Amino acid sequence: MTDDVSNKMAYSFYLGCVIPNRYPMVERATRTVLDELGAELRDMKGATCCPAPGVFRSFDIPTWLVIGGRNLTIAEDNQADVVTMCNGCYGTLLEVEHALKHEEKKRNYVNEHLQKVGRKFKGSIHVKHLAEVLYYDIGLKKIQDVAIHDLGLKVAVHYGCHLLKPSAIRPWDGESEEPRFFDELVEALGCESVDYRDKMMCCGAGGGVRSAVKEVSLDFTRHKLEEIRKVGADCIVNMCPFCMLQLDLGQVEVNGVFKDIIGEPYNIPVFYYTQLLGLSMGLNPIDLGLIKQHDLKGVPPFTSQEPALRKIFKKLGYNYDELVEQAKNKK
Amino acid sequence: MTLKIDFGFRKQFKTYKFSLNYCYQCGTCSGGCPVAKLTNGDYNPRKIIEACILGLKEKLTTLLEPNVWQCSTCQKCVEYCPQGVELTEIFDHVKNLCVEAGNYPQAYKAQGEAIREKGSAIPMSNAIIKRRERLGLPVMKTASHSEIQTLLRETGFIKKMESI
Repeated sequence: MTDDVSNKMAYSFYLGCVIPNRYPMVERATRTVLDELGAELRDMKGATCCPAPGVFRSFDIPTWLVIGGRNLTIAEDNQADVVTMCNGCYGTLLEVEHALKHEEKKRNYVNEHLQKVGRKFKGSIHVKHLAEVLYYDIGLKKIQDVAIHDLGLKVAVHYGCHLLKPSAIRPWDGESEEPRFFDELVEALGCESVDYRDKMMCCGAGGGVRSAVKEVSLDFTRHKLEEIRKVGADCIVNMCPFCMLQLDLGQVEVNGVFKDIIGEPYNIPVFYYTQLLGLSMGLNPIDLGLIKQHDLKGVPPFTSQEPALRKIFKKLGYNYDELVEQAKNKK
Repeated sequence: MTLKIDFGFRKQFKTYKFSLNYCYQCGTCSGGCPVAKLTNGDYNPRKIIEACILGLKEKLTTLLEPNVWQCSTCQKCVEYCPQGVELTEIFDHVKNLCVEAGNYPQAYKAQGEAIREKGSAIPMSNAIIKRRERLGLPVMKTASHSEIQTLLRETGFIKKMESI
């Protein structure tokens, strides 16, 4: 499907809503790491919300298709496949792409509308998740080669749902129950990917349940956090900002809502994969956005990453407190 | 309680996703559903499918029994279904009809409006703008307002939002 894209390592960089507006540090880490790995990122000018597969699709499926299709035409203008850092955006954009490429009625409907704003979906690009770009395009072997520092953490990998399912239109050979690719990417950083019960369970945020039925949503998160704590993981690693928000901010919320049944409050650092990959590649933690800015209130991470970072920094020879000072002076 | 069958509703569903016809109510979907597990079966995807097959519109979109808004769209049921029923997409269609009936989580409307106005589901805060600046990230630009308005008007989305 990428035949008419001449430069195979150039991508239309789809940001979505949650990363730029909540986790810009993840955007920073991803841009830095992909640049280092030789992938060219072309910004998608005028892109909107994917739109969200939970909330927006629930409102009106045809509009969801049209707005999703519009985003794809921006990637077509860029002449580069889409890479997204978010499972939700991946779900929407890939499923819209699939529908528009395979269902004539839907393609005609979408193009009739897009025509009114001078756009047309031609079907010349393909949507990829960052995990797919790292694992297949750049390749696990290359990741193993560039990840020169062993981080030595016990990691609980959280895949999230839309990265894997529906498996019929995902690139993981139909595997959605026991995938290994993310674990392999984590192991490449000299970390142990620990097994835990209900590892493949949803984070609880998806489908708009976070907005619709908060308590059910947090119960998912509580369940996952409990299983992760049981196996003594140093941190959670994921590749979706909505899962990240749920596991990070949700952790604080779980500590409140379920305080009577959880015993000790949870305090498990949550990382996005490229943040750890960057550290393993020897990139500066400040350039990866890993040093929290204490003067900025309401900026994630909400659950401190400090315990895991101190452990890594000790191994890598960085001084945590010095980096915090340096980051302050960098304003 | 008498259950009212809505034949138009039933037909609409069977046309929308023909795979609905293949369901033989084995309950594999509910067995694998994490929400069903956490709500002790209060949420039950099999029952939603059953109500779609039977055409029980009121039950699904007014009474919310079961409440389709609890679906986390994790797609486990879709993976497990031995009959290839496209449950998540069918549930999305039910949700669309719930919206028409005015039965939807209030927080959703704000997000729909944010997308309509700014093209983004999440508003930018000053602290984040500052953080982006310090990280050396590009300034976020909103999409062409008129372009988005045109599309949302033409698909009937704006009208739908105003009517609910």
